[in-house]
Amino acid sequence: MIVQSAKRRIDWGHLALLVVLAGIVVWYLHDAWSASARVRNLILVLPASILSLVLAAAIAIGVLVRGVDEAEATEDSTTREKLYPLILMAIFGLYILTLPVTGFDVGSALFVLIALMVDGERRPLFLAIYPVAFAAVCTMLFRWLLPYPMTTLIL
Amino acid sequence: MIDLGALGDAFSLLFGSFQPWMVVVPGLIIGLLFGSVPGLQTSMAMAVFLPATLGMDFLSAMLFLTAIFTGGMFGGGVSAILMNIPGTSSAVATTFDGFPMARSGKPSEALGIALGASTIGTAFGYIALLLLIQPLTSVVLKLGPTEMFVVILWGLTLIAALRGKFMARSILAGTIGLLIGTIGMSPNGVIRGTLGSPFLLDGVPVIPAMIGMFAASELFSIAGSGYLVDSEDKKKISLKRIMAGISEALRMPMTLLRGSIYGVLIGAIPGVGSSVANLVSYGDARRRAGNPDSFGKGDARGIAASESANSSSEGGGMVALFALGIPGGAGTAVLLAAFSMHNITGGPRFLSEQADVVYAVILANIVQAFLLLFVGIFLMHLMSSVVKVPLRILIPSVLVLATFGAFGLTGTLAGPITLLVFALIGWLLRKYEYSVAAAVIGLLLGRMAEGELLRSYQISGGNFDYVWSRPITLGLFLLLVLSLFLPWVVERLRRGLQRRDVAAHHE
Repeated sequence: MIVQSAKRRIDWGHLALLVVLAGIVVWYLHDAWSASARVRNLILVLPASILSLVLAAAIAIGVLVRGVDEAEATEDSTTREKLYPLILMAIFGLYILTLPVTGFDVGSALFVLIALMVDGERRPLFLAIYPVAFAAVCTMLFRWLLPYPMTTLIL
Repeated sequence: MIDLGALGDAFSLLFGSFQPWMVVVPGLIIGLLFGSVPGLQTSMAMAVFLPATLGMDFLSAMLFLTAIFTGGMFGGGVSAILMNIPGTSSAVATTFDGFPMARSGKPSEALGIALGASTIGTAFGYIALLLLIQPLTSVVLKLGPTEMFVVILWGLTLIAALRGKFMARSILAGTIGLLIGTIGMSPNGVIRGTLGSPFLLDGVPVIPAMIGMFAASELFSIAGSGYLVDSEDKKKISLKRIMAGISEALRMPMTLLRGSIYGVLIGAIPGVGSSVANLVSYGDARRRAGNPDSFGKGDARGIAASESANSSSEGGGMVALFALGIPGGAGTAVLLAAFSMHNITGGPRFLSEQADVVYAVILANIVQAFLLLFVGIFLMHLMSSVVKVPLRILIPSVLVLATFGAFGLTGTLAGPITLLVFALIGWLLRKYEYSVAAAVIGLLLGRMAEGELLRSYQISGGNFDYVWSRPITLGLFLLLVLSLFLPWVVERLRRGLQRRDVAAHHE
């Protein structure tokens, strides 16, 4: 019986993640070293950084040499399943970054509304009531609990 | 060891009037609700309700606040199981098996196991406190940075145990987490890695980062599917299933006992406490298991080990508070504030002069543990309904709650931004099969580890021989080594004996 070897390819995304992680470690070590090169400052940072860099290099070599099985890499999921988490992350990022403008009340209601619509919720009454009610309850609860001011637009 | 006269007085204080008990059930409910809502902290609940204790006598005030504490400890496990959000840092290990078990269609059973383990753990913790408060106090007084560092190291060994498919990736995630944990002003006063931002001077806000890495990244990963639990039949929540979970927990007496012992001993260490106890207990249960691969996939022993340890650490945490007047964490710090509101100072004099009150608080907490069982069963029915909410509604709602919680923890937008950044990091780590749990453990323990290591270095003057003069450090280190290798050695010996028996049988 002839066993056909599966095609393997380099996982560039994984390699990029390792490069970014190693870059952050090198930058942090440099920053800590510049702040103070004494043992007291580097007692944990230096050994942990060296270990991280060695591990990142070892894993990167594995990624380059072994690669990933193309059959394994081709996920059995639809485009929508692949895209939806990315869209949700983008909406969430937008929600957090615009909080100083939209406030916790309006920002939260908008985020819930858009996330629901993107995931296929179409009931108009539910879309009109739930995001507003949920954001209002959260805003009022946390405003009551927290000792510091919270940015809001309406409430 | 126990002052029997004071114990008798404690009984009459507690059971002479019904008044002190009136506040216990409301306290448990408040704690449970705060603990189980992502971002709301038990210590926050205790602080919010602290002014309400002004009108109470000292005993009632302590019962109310410790009831919130007990309820919150378990509540942290509820959100860990149902949403993969550890409500407190002491419930991190509960997420490892709790959430997979809930997703596999056993949310009620998982909550039942957590409740059973929490009840036993809390009761064990306070019974141990009652019996051992004096000897534990003398041990706590002898603890120095080297001992604390060994205990933290013990927690860190879980990084390697959580290796999943790839050991190197897990350790890399753990060390990166450890490094992130050291960002900010070092224990030595040096500012590192803050990019000039004043928000990072105190370090990366750990709990928003933890919620981001664990929960938000998980929610992104499961977004687009129908429900947390897909099968209609498994979504049904019944008292029978919750009770089955509780009885499953009770069928693991050794796991519960070991978890409770770890909880009391580690919980007694100020500043380290329950955040490490649950990790050490989980790691031990995993190493001892004949089939450790089932851990991380919904193994009941993982939930029981973590919940028994974090619950019993509450009793351990009271050692430093009662005997030394030192708060071991945020919750006990609020209790200390209640002490001062009632003109009471913790410490050896308090322990000897008001032993009846101390015993009354301890006894009441033992009863509270069993009240938690009933309150928990009642509320869990309501809480496990989360699995019936479609993910398209649940995910944005939990993300909004987490955002409010992250803001609540920091008081600035640094909290929500941390949540976002770590949600993305967590999602990337998950995508490439790095252990998110290992990164969280590193993040949680990085700052503590550096502080204790630095103090050890300063005290010893960099001379390693100092360790030989610290018998408790050596003892703890020996225990650490034994816990790591003994299960492996015993397994090898057992297999060797089995092989010899089989060979003898064939002859």
